[in-house]
Amino acid sequence: MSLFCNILHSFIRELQEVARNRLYRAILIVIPLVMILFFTTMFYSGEIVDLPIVVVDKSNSPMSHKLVSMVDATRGVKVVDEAQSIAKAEQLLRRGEVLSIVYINSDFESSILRGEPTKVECYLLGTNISADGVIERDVQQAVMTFSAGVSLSRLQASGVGYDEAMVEIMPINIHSNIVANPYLNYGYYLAPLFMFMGVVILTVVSTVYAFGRELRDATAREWLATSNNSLVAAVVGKMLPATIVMSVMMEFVLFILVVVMGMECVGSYLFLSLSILLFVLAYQSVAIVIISLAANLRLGLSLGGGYAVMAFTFSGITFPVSAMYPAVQPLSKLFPLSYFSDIFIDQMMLGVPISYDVPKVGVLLVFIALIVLVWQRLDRVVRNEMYWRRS
Amino acid sequence: MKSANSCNINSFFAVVRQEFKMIFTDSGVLLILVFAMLIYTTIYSLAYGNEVVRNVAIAVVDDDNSPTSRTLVNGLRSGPNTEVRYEVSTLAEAKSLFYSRDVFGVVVIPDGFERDVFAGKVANIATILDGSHLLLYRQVLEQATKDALTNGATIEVMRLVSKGANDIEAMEIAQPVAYDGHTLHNPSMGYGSFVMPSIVVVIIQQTLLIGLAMLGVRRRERPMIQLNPIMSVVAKILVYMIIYGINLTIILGIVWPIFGFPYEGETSDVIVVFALYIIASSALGLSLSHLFAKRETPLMLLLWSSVPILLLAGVSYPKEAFPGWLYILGKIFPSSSAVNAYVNIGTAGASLTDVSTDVVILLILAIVYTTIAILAEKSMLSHNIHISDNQCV
Repeated sequence: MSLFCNILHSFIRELQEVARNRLYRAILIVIPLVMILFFTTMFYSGEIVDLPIVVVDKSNSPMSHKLVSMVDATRGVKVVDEAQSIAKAEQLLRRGEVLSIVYINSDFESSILRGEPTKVECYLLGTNISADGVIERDVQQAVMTFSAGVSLSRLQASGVGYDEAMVEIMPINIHSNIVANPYLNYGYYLAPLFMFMGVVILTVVSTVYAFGRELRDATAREWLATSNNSLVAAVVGKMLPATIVMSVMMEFVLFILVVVMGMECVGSYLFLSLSILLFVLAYQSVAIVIISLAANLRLGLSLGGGYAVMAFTFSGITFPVSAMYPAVQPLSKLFPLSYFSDIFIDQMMLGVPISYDVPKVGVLLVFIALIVLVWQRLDRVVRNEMYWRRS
Repeated sequence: MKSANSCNINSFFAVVRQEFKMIFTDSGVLLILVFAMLIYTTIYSLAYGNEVVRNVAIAVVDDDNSPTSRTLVNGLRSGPNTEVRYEVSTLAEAKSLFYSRDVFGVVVIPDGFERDVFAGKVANIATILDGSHLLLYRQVLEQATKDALTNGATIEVMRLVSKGANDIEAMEIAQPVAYDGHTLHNPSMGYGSFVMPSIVVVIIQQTLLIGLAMLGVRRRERPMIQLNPIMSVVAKILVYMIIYGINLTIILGIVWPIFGFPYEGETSDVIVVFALYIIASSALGLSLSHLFAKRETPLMLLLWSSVPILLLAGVSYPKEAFPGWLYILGKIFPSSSAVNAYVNIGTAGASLTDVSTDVVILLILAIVYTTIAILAEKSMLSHNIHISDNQCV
């Protein structure tokens, strides 16, 4: 009971600091909300549509016009200009007004009518692989559909029935079952992980600040005294405001994803919600390890901030870990975000049975346990004036 | 008159020296302004340097187990985009591998595949693809489609030839119009080459904003050499241009070639863009530096904003995918125009006139933010009564 009272006193002391300190309030409340609002606006549509391209139609024939309108009709691409020459088109490309050139040669129609193979050329810039991927997919799809149409009418003209002709055109059919994110929505793919990343940065920064501030202001003794000099109670009470706020923010992110962005949770929402608490605690624990070792608010913030930001790269959200240099790959294991993003994708998008994710929850518990390693050091740092007032 | 001038020049260089001294005697500022850019660039290059997603692990369930289905499996096996890590006999086993992330895609060839091919029916294959990671998804789909099409075309040509057509006629019927894709720059479509130029540009601005705000707090804690605000701001910006110029030379001259990232375009154009950019962002940094009361505040408030600012440039995530007003609002950050200008020059070999819009915006931002920085410096001076250090008095 007295442990509970000691925790409560440390917790109340921290809340008073939040009420008094504008910076603390900004980090815990204003910035997380601004960040979530920003990413929701950014990824709300989640679909890359109408990327501008230019067509150089040297054929200028009914058939080439048909192909151009088929390219224009795709969702991802919009023909914004028709240039007379490739040089003119290249200029538009260099100015960034268009992202790709589609080139149709002058004997396009006559080749088709003569029954000779021809081709449509597509030039991609290569500076933006996400946009280039969409353009390539859509232009290729339009050309293939057009080509199939040519084959179909030719086979039908030579007396082949429709069904038989279709088999000739497409002897092997692929049924794609996309298990997660079936509409391949970029928003679904990026928004959650960007928002988790934001919460991670703010969790680490606010936790390092909560402890580091007491050292810089040389108030660690008063802080310990509120908890009857029980370090366990003092630490738990101090962590608690950020634990609560950041867990609520994470739950709010899930709420936004489902309610505002229309994501469907196909696995266990409950399991995901519960692992959020461990995820936040894991990062808080690492933050305490960092501030204990640094014993200096500003150094702790620089190191903690660097650690938090690195998770973005090494959790494989943007570029898959399996594609990194083999020597770099193990680094991904050092960040709780790597495990949590797997749990999130498994439960929210894939519907993976919980048993596959229990080990990942176990790893989050290991991160939380890391605080034990620095406990003695933390004890020394908060009780010894030698570590105070350094900045 | 003459002596006043030379005195001004002396105090100009005194401010330059003082600024260097402040940066190099403060480990926190030194870390952010000088080393952070090199450290972050190297770490990100190590992560993204491998560029292309190859050999994505997949599992195959071959229920047909016929010569025709083996041809298809061998195609998937030889890649380059996929690697058949497991061949399993049931879909349940394949799913289990998929769930435990041992594979990132599954290709199922159902029983009767070869029979359908020879009977002249459409033969089906099924794929299970993971849409939660679009880069992996694309590689698996691309490989499966390519192999199925190659096989399909071979089958069709075989059929047509058996019906009496010659090879060329058969090929023409199979595919009268072909798609021929070319990539003008970054031909391997590498991820590092795509994202690193933007990251470097954003790091410059973010480290300047945080670093200068930290310096700003320190400046108010101690007596400074007094100089007229215009000269004082110019002197400081000169210092940051020297530091970042050296860092950029190291990054573009050493780190870039090591990882094989693209560097096209004229160096003189690159210098113009970066010079304007460093002036604009350090002036913004100097203007904002007066708002922070404590040394830890800038890092706490600004660190999270790096990813949003990178996205606002509309390059790593295409601007067509998010609201236009947000993109326009993003132009208040020098990074938005600089990312666009530098990516076009550095990766795509554009010239300064091609990116004139971005250059003009950078110029406007440089003028506006420098003016604000000078005004802020002036108002700080008028609050400050210590003029005693002025050597010219």
